[in-house]
Amino acid sequence: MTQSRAGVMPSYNEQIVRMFTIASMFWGVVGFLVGVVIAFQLAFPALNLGLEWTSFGRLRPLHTSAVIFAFGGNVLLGTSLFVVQRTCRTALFGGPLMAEFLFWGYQLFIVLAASGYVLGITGGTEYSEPEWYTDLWLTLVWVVYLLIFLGTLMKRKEPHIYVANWFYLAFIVTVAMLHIGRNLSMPVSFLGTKSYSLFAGVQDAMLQWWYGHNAVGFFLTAGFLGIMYYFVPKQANRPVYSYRLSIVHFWSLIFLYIWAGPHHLHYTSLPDWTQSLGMVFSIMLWMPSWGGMINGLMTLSGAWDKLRTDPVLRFLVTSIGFYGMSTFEGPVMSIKAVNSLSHYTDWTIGHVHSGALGWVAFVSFGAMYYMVPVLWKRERLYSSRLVEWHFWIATFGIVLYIVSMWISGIMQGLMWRAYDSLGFLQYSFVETVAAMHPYYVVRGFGGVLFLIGALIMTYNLIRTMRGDVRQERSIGSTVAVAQA
Amino acid sequence: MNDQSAHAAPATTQQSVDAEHASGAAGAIMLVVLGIFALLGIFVMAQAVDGVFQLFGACLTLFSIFMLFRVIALLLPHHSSDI
Amino acid sequence: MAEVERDLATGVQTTGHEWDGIKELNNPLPRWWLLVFYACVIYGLAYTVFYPAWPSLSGYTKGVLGYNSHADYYTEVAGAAEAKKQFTDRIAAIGVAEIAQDPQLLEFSLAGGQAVFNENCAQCHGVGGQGQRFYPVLADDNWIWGGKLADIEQTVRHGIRHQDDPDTRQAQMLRFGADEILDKAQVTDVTEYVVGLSGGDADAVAAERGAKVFAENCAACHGAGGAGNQELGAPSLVNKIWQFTGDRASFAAQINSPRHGVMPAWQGRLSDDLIKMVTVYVHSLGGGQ
Repeated sequence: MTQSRAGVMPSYNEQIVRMFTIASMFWGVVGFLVGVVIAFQLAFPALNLGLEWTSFGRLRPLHTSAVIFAFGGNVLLGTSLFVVQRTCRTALFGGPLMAEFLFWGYQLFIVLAASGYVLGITGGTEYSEPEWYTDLWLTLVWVVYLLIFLGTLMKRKEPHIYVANWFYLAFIVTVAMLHIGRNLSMPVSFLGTKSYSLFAGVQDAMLQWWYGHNAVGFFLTAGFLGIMYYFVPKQANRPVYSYRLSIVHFWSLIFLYIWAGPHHLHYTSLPDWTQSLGMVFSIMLWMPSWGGMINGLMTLSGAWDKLRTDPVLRFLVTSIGFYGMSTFEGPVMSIKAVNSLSHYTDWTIGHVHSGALGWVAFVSFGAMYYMVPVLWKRERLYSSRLVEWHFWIATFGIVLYIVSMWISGIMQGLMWRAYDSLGFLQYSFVETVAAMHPYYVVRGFGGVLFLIGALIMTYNLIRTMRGDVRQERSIGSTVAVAQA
Repeated sequence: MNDQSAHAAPATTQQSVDAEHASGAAGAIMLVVLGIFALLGIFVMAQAVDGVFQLFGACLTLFSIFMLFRVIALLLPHHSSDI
Repeated sequence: MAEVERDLATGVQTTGHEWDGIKELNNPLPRWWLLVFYACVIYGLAYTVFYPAWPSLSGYTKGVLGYNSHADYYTEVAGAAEAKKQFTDRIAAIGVAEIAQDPQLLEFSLAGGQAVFNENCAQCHGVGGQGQRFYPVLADDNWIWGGKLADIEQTVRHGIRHQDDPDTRQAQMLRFGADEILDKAQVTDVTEYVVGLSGGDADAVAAERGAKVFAENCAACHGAGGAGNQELGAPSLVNKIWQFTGDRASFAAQINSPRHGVMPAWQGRLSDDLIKMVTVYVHSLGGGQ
């Protein structure tokens, strides 16, 4: 279908994308495994093992950073370099040296951050726990990333910039701004790990959630929408539904998202006016978020039948479904009346994971299943049946996770605010903990299922890389077909 | 699934520049930068006031040395196995 | 564009752009999407009219409802205190014994005392005073420092071995072994005696010798025959209820170098009426005397 563009085909740097893909698989399994461990630590505190290095407080940032920055980050970096080359029809700016520095530099950032957490080095603020020296290193690596991406866009051979690249660029630029803004701090000494934030009190809290919420908005939403905008049309082999919608929802999304952070600080010492603005910007954000969902889902019009036979497409479409669900749940939870029930409870944890497992991880899985045969020049995946198994096991795991956290979170919130007829609190904190125990166990099993799914994927992808093809019935048919 | 062969990457042609191998000038700059990083790492290891910062220095030095090898590998001419 | 391309499956025009085989359809914005977006924006702007919202250099718009979350909070807390005032005022004026006699105040104190207990005491003594290892059960009729209302109130107010309170309950068992008040053989003997006191399988000969040691060294506090003495906080040794572990090795360890339970003083942390209420609540748990 691209005869008009035939000619000298550009040479792409695919080696770097292969490296990022393998790193994503590795860090994904590590991050999910640590998640399962800390889920069971919450249900059975003895699993802290009585050691400082394995206590929940240190493993929890290890889990969040491993899944967001190590797994999610490697997927974003890898897919963005894959997509930007192909949609600009040109090789990466800066050549393989800058790309390799980006890859290994990013892995060094992960190792520095993770080893710091386990050894007790932390800035103490959620999602920005790394200390100043790790922050400085990431800043350097991120500038290299920005240069590579921007340079590649500038030397593109296509007249226009594809929408996926708008989202990737928004992600890269905004994360740079957030990272530097949040981590403005003064080291105690230039040869020690400890530093103090430049801000204090409620201003530090506000800065933290400006950062924290937009880490979700630009790392986990804008970046992964970039993935969606390339891999969904490719896998479905259909045009993107609406160019106009992509423009409007892109600009409204990035304009509105950046103001929504204060909804993490409802009913605190944050001034009322800031809380109000955080809430109304979150509500206005609902439709801009859903624009991406509409564009993703409607891209399948004319190709819905493929869902029956293509489990990779099923991953991508389900991820869009979870994206729509959690971007509706988010504005609802930002409403102050709802927030007074949901805040500080496990409902928040369930909400984050419906986005993280359902949207971020699923769209990543879909992209990786798409990329590996392309990158390793294989005709097809080792096994579509295993993709199907991965899909159902992981989906069931997510459902267990989200439902148990909804129940436990709402129960917890209701117990906290229960008064008897004389105006006394009805439950103690310890009673809420006891009541949540069974749901913690269920959540842990949900996590186990998700981890099993990821291991199946890792096996399937490694066999694909090696060039193996499994003899199996193709999905949707009853006849055994030998595919060579 | 079979249509995946349709989006396999375009083959590298004779005329195009190989995107997976580096040029000498960039390599030279990189070698100098990595050398500075390695020395910085050693300095940090020697002078750090706490153990984790020493670990940071060690990681930085190891990273720089490892990257040096990678740079050299990328600078070497491409030895194709099917000559 | 020379000619407009149409998508075969839907009949919609494309934009004519193409990247790596991806094209875009020129569909308009979905109408419902746009309307809901507008509705959200209108709701958001309207909200900022009613509630504090827009900052300026010198302040912020207060909103026509005059909402202030801090003022709301203080109003609600004051309202809750006002609703309880008819009870708390009377509780403040009288002693715990009288409170327990008044059916209305008793009901109020049991409800409030439970809330206080669950937030402050249940971490150690367990919900409902069921106790746990090292922390005495409060729901049985065995008391170390006495189970009368006045005794319980004293314990709650001043704690047990709480260093910063001069009126705290004090009792220190001597380090009989570690300080060589008794020699090793004597410790072994008296251990056997204590094992026998609670019906354990003791060496009769050693216990016989131990009885003499007990009478000379222990009976002053624990009472002849180990019945215990609540005045001195010396627990009974005959009822098989143990604050620490009830086996031979732990007895020997306790005699050698004893452990002591500590409870903080709650006076100053809890208001006077709450202390009275939690006293009445603990007394009601089952073992009050």
